[in-house]
Amino acid sequence: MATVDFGGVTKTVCLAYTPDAGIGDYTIIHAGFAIAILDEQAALESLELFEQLGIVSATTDEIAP
Amino acid sequence: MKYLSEFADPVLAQRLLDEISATVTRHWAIMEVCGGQTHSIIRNGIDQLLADEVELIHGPGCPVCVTPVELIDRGLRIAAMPDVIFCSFGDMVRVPGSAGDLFAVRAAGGDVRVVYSPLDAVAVAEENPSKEVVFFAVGFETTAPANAMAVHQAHERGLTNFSVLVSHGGGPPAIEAIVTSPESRVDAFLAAGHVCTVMGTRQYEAIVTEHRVPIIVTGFEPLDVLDGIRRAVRQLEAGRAEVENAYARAVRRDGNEVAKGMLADVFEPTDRQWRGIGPIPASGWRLTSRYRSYDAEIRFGVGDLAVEESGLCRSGDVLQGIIKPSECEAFGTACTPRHPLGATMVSTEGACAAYFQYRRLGDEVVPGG
Ligand code: SF4
Repeated sequence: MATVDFGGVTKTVCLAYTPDAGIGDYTIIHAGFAIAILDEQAALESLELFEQLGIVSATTDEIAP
Repeated sequence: MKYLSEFADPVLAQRLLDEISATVTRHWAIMEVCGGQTHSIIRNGIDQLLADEVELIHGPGCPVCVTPVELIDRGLRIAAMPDVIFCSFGDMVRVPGSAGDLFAVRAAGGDVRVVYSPLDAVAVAEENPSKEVVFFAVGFETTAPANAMAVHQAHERGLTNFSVLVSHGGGPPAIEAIVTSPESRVDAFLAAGHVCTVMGTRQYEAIVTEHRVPIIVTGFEPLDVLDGIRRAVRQLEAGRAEVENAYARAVRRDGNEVAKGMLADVFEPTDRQWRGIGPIPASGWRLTSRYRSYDAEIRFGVGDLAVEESGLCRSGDVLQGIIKPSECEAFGTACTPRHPLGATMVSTEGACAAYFQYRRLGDEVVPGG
């Protein structure tokens, strides 16, 4: 069992399904169980992609005849 | 909070919306399978902000909503028995059976308790050895690992006064039933990201190949949903049909192996009824023979209780995306969250509840607002 901070409220959750979870990890919790550890790198890559999208399509719009 | 507000950024939302508009050339119907996504879409007005060509169809992904009415009646009957403590997640307590709900059973003197985790119900069983403690195990593959662990722990601890009323289901058979339904208009699916954290993306690969329908594994925040739609539209416009992961920060191809192992130990596939939809082969789970003695339906002899569904509620059509909640005549009049006629008006993931909460006034909405 571990203590998880839900943006201010803390709760005790079971880590049996995320044995690799460590202090400071972000997790997805369902019914008192952590079922996934968030991959921060992947999160940043998604946000980066969205940034790029805007720029790429804006540029395409500008150069389109 | 980390990775919540970032994925609701209005500027990036507009970029995704623009990208979708720039890509789409004809009408596409995309079903978001999960009720959590439906709420995100309605709350943020995503359906109204999207290019007109893209139609969102709300799917059946609300576990409480699709729990068969006869199973709720079985729960009500067990909960009303003397010396029973009936534990449930909070959103199940107001869901109407054919006559009444768990709340009414409690008002009439039944010992109905709301728990946050099924392990809380196991603890109640340990503290009350002279009572039968029953947990209403409702949920898709996100919740099933927790419930499986509860059964497993009760077994380990030799608890003989604990049992579960199982309403688990989901998975590829449910999506396949929608794809092959003659009434289906769905061109692509946004699959439930949280389900896939457990089950992985691999489970959809066969459907995509066989039925040539794109399935995008999608999260719940506004940008997640928009990115799922963007990828679906891109595939559809290119004539492709693939499994794509738009929720890479939480989902891996194989899912959560530890949780899947526990699920395979405790549950096995079975045919099941979906409230408002009907039977879908192999779309449900029941306890394996090793744990069968924890089955509350068997323990309390309520397994053959059958009932008729009220005729007014059109939640079946809502759950299959045939009508929008606001097209139901009872919506907001005879049926409200205070006096729900159907489970889709009760659950926090129900489409009718989402429309009631965010769409009665016809407000204009802004991205991320
Ligand atoms: S609005 Fe109420 S009666 Fe109509 S479909 Fe939804 S839950 Fe059923």
